[in-house]
Amino acid sequence: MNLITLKEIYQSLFHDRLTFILQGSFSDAMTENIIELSEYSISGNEDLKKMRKKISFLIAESFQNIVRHGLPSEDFVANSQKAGMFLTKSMSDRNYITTANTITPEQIIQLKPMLDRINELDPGELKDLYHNILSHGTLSQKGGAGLGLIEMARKSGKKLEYDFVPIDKEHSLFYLMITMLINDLPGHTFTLQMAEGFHKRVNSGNVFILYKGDFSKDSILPILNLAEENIAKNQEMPVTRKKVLTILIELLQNISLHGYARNNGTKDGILTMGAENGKYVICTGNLIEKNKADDLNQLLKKYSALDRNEINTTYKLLLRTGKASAMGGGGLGLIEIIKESTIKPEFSIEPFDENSFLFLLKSTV
Amino acid sequence: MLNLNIADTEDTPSIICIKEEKNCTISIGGNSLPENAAEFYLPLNQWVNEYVANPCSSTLISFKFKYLNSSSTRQIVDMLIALEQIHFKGFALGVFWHYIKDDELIKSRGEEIASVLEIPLEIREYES
Repeated sequence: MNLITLKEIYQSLFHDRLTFILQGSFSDAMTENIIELSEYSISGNEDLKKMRKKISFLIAESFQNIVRHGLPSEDFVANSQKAGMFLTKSMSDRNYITTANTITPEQIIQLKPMLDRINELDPGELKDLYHNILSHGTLSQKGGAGLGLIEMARKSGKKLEYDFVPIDKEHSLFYLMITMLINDLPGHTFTLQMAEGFHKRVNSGNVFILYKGDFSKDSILPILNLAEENIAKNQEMPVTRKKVLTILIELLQNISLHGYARNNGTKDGILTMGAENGKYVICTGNLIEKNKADDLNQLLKKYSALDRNEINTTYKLLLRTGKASAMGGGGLGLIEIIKESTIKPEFSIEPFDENSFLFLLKSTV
Repeated sequence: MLNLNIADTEDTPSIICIKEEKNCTISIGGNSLPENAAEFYLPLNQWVNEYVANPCSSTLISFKFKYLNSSSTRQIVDMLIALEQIHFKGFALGVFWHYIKDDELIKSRGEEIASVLEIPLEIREYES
């Protein structure tokens, strides 16, 4: 992930309330955190709030779909074509949930007719089918019997969009998209093709978590938990895990504390976490007030010119003589990020609109 | 003065301050990630400011952090600088910074803090 790509992605997602993509090996434990993120992003919108329970249900169902039916995680290799994906995208009047998981040709033979049948039925017929299978149908090995898909169609009220993208002779990626609209007014449309393209783009950037939305305590904690789960699975050295999470905390709180509040009061920004050459890479982007841009630029340039020893000395000087700000910090965050990164962080500060600049930072651990 | 007892949460540490006749202990431990560290640490800062005016003959301070954000580091260092007064007044003061085995980050944070203080800070490893 480089800063130019990050900027482009942020600009393309600017009007979304929330875009969250997670790649990797999935576990049930993550479901709660994802639902928390989604519910938080919905909480500020009266229209979407009415759909809150449905959206949370559908997130859980989609997630379970990957956890239960994707290939076992031993087969999984980060950023290979077999990666599973979960993507939720929330706009002011609509919500999209897209998942991808690896399946076999045999599974396609079972799935396709089931999906086509579900998409042909009206709500009454779907309800009947659901009860029919519940009463008489044979449970699948995983205990679902296709009920999950039927419930997705019923709760969303829309057709389930799907696609099978071959990976090799034995495997295909099964994409599934659930759409929820508050009304049928035209607006931003996000198609399955766009979701597939976005997945491909994120995958090629070696990114396993991408979050674009509001940064506050209510969103930071679920993100931290998801990152922790993800890192734990990669069985990194404890030192690296700790460093990654510590830097992540500073980067996220940096946005929450110092970011420019948009019209709706949100501290909007973007976070990506991924890997490059065996190291973790964390990137953030956020808007800052126009009049703060110059000071920040000068500070970052000053720190960038220092070698490791000088950074440590500067840090200790700040520890002893620095003054706490109104919120209790004292400008230690930025220097901690630089100090704990294994390579000097890259940054850029550029004009974004008439009131703000876009601050991008890339930290490698 | 009243003792202080603040329970820990997912993102804030437990804080226990007990002042007896001759001894005082201050124990802080857990995750310290409050966004508004000034607000969170205010009760402790107020307690410490009152205590420093009339300290016990022996004071023991113990830290046991899992995660510590930069705002918390600022608050902790400011608190320790305030407590330096006890040492300068000639009273006994022991400060211990505990880190779990292999947690090089918390260990090195303790060492950095120790290097800027005018009182001894002992770094101690513990097993989980």
